[in-house]
Amino acid sequence: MSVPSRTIDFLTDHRRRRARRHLTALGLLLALVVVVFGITLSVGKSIVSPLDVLRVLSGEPVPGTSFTVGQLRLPRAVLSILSGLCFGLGGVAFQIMLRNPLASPDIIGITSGAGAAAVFAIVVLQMSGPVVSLLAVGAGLGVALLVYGLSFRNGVGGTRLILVGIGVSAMLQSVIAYILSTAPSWSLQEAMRWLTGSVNGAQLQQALPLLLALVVFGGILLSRTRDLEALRLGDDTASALGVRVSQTRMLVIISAVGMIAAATAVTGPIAFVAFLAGPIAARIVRSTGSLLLPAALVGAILVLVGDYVGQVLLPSRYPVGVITGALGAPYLIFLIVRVNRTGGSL
Amino acid sequence: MTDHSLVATGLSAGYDGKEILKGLDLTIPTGRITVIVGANACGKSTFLRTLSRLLVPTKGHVLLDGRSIHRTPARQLARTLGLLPQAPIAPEGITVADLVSRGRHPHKSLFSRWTRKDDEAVDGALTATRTFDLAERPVDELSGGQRQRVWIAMALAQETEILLLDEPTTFLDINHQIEVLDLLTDLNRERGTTVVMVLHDLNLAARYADVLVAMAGGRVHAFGTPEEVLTEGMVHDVFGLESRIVEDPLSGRPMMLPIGRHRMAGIGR
Amino acid sequence: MTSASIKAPARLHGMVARSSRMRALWLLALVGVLALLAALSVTIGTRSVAWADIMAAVRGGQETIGQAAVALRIPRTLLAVLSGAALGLAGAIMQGVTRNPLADPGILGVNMGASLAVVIGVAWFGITSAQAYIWTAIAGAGGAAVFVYTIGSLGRGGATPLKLALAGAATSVAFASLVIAVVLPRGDIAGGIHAWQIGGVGGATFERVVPVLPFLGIGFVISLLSARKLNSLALGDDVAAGLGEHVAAARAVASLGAILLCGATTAVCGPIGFLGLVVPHLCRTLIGVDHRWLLPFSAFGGAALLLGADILGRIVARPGEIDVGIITALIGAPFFIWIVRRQRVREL
Repeated sequence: MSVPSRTIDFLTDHRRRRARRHLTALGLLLALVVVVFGITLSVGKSIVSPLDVLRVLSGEPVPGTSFTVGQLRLPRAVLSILSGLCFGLGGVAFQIMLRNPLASPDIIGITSGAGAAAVFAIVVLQMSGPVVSLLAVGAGLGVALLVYGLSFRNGVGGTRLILVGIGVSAMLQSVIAYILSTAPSWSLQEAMRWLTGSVNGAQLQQALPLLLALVVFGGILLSRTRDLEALRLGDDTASALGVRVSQTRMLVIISAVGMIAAATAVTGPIAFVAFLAGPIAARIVRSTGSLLLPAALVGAILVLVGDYVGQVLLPSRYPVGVITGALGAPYLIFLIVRVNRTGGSL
Repeated sequence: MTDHSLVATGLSAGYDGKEILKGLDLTIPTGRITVIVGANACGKSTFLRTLSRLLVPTKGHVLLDGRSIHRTPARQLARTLGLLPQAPIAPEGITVADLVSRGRHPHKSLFSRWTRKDDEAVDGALTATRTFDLAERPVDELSGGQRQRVWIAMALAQETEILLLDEPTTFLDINHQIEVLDLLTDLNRERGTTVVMVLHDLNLAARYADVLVAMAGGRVHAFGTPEEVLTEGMVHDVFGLESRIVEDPLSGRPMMLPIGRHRMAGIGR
Repeated sequence: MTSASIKAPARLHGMVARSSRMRALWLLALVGVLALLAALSVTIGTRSVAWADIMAAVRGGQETIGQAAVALRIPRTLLAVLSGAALGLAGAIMQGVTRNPLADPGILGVNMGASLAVVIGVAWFGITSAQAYIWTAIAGAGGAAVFVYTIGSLGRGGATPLKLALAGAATSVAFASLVIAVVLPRGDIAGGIHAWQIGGVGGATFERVVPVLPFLGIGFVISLLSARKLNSLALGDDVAAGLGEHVAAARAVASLGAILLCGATTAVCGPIGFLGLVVPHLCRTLIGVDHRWLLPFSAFGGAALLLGADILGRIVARPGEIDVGIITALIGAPFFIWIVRRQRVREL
């Protein structure tokens, strides 16, 4: 067949433009993360000059600010970024795989599962540290497989999975509520962590499991970017394109749940970040490329900004989950309206 | 021309433990257009799904060049055998060029870059389906016929020598149905692609098929040229309908006219 | 005409009579179970009380600790029966009005709407009286019902089971996070609201129960009177209109009854989920789809189930107790999942 090269050039150009737009969007998001990170470190109830922040970060002792920045603000910001990345990436992976924004881990019960396990381990078994994270990851995975198994009938219908997940989530929520109600010595603040998520009392060593989850599971997810993109065309089409659908799904579930649960064990289920990151990222990058990285960055920004608003900008202090929850609630409803009206997806 | 062979032997498959295909044998003629017809629930879609690896058979095999497709690595298979499912999903806002590029998936590995050859394949697919002018448009904005052409373009970009299509003309207006069937015929004539499709409309099936397959009860009921297969007896056995077969004055192919209880003045009562 | 078709009316009459007898028997059995549970509810509790004290307490005695404990169980039992009946009935109405097997005051977000309204009333407007609680809750329930139904019926196909359930669940989740956002900065009310938010009948007193009685009464009457309308609606809006039913009005009236019931119940007990889902389904398997029977059955069944769940919550966690809202979620959610699984693939 003869190929006129003019049309090929046009196609190449079209593709390059899209790739460039995608990279620009990614760059902007990354820059935004850095800027917000900087602001949260330097501007709080007291203002620290950016120069001093840099000096603290490089390990130089700065009298009066080393503690505020190094011990209070830095761990908070680092934890916010890491958990936001985890929630955003894990959430969007689910949404892409099941082709439905409502299929996010915080709606289909995975965060509730991890949260219930963490609360159980801490309140009833009196445990702490990495064991709690491990348990939470295990429970999150268990719930994910349970929901997946329960919605399996001639393959998994995305919407059936969501409804089953909502049911499972309701049960787990009531378990959490019960365990918290039997622990009268607990302060409301601590209970809030497990009901909506917060980064209060963050310490740098908590970042380690998150980092680990991010590298291992995030790596697996990113290596599957192309398969995930093909899944957006429907299971049948993806399969026709040579994607091993069930294998890809298993890998995606395991890695996404791993990240979500690891983050939940540290910060609690920060409300709606996993749910919001994907759709927001989709608005930003449009359809210029994969949503995985943009959604992860949006997740980080959401948690950083949410925590900053809750701590600094409002008259009384709120944990980050309350802010993201209050922001996410109307968006969730808006999304339902839109999905119903257009039958559209992410 | 292609020289791949696709053969189903003793194929049984179904859902929920309910067997729909019951020991079906069929050799797909290479380089021809094969059209499968049959009443609802006779297993035509199930057959196509099994043929394309979407469904694992409970008994029997689908052999591509003598090798079971369920033992062939997915990506390798997808370079030979393409499928256009009945209800493919276009992600919101995706452009035509992007969607068609997705057809290159089986030719890409994790780290391989996009090459000139990929661009050529996409360009060829867009040109063949006359969708090049739509390249930058979002798929959601297209008409039904345009959209179906774009999906076929995606399957073309996959550059498979066998293409399976599950009712590619459903939900299309009659003019778009003809457009799609003409396009598939072009494809078969120009590239030698083996086309296998399920169609609802018997007369369109007879007009466009090189080989017509009538299915009933999960088996092949009749197989052959349209003239051999589309007979009054077959229509009666497969659809339970009395009919008259006449010659289509345009194509010379057989054409089925159904006999109902009313307005049958022409045949007397 | 064949002889079979001549006999048909007589045969039909026989069938109806037989099934009516069966239904009456079932109803009697259900009332019996309810009475038994009520008796159990008064005698069983976290604390074991001697028979003599129980009898004395039922007659109004409050001398010993045991008698006092039993005296507390009486209003609690009453509340459990009333709210169970209200939620069961409301569930049946909602399933009928929406023709949706997944409808339930919890899943459709109505209970959460009532609780958000109450929480806002308490936190921002300082409401305290029982009357104010109830009116606020009913307003919230009504608002949420209209809201969810509107969202759920947007787009192609109208209010399909799936779209309604998703809209309701999403609204519930959204409202729940708003409840937390409203409550959190108010340390003074947070503890009380958190206990209420779980949903339970513990700590009921006659003073708290009496104010809701008129609301529940009106709700019961409206709901039970709409049985015939629901039977027409069950055939689809077009057919119902063809049968001479004013569809929109029928829907509005029946919904009003359900909203009164949910709102009033939520005001006293907090949001109790899944009861309204489970009960009508169970009743339907017993006595069929005729709402003239289904509605009273759902009321009695709901009362029995909530009372049973409350008794269970008192037994399993001794010396503490589990709030009934937790028990109903643990029983009801698997049931919900079962129904979702049973739905045809095409619909989901």
